Amino acid sequence: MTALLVPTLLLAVGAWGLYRRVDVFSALCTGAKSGLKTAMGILPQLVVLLSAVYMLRASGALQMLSALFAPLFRLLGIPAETAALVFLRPVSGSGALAAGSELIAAYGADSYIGRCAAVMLGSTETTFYVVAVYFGGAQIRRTRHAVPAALAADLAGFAAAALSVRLFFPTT
Amino acid sequence: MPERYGVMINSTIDPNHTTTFKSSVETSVSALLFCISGIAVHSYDNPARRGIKYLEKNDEEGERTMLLSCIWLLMLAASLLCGAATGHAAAVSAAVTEGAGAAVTLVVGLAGAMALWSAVLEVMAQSGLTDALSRLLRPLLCRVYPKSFRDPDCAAALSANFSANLLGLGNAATPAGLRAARLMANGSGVAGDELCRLVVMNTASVQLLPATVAAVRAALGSAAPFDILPCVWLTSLCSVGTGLLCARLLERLAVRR
Repeated sequence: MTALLVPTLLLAVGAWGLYRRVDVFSALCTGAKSGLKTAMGILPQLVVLLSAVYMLRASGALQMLSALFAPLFRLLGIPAETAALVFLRPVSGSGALAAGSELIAAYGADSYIGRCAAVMLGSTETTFYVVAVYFGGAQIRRTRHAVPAALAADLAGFAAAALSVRLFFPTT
Repeated sequence: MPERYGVMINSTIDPNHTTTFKSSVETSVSALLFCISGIAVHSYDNPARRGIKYLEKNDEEGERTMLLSCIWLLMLAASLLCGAATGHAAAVSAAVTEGAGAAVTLVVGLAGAMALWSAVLEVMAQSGLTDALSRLLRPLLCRVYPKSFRDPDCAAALSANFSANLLGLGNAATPAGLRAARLMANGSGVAGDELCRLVVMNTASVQLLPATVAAVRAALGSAAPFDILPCVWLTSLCSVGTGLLCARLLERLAVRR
């Protein structure tokens, strides 16, 4: 079922656009141009951060980090290998993408760890960036309980990610 | 499965890991480390911390990239130390260029899918799908922001923000969210309850189709990149629910004091 989802979506959106008298082709090209710009935009940050993540992996530092936090993560049901992703996620979007893509490359895209990393990446946002943008824009100095609540949401997201992958893919 | 990985990792540092006393000590040590990092991370936001002149910058974005600089240097130092200690020095120096090359390969693999997805989103935006979705979501959002919904501009901005996030339109979500945040701020420099809820809703992102992650999975060899869709939906719901619950609990605690 999910295999046909994306082509059906493309067809539906195009048809709806045509019905609304939108110039679908030029809208697609405008959007594609901005999508390419976004991809080029994340390239510098990914180069810098991915080389750091690869260095951490090659030196065994990632394994040590996982070993350090393994008991706590096991309590929450989060696989310990995703420690780097869990810590980088609230801080930096590109860092999380670097750590997550490295995990997916190292363990395989369809493995338990690979799927956990993908779900964690897809269902959380860069906490401190959002806090900075919104509170900075609204001229707020005292953020009260926003940061703890947001970090709690992130933590629940990580635990739920591991749980949902175990639920929906029990054989891996 | 996590048990297996957990046992594998523990056995590399202590093969005789059997006593419950030792495991509870380990758990409390890692919990302590977690709390310390949590406090350190929270004090990042504490105005008192801005006395540290070296890291002081005028804008929030600058502070964040300074934090990233520190983190990057920390990552480098950690990998150098560990590499020297474990004898993998050659692997570490090879990994530098390997990582940089992997980044370019990844982005080249991603660029096509990201471009296509942005194209579809542009059509959606131009054909009014975002507006239709935001009208549909108003009754639901009214429950989350009861006070702010009395102002029609704020209500419109809040629903535009949430529906743009749902569709993965980051560029449209942020201006709408900023508009709503400015309308909600009462000028005292203190975040109101509903502004905190807005930030929590935005940071626990709810996305209907996680296109970037699916593109990464496809580029790295997944058979069915979108098969994690139900997992992503479930996780997003859990994290938003927990965030809002925590926000409400902390609001009540603040009122009691």
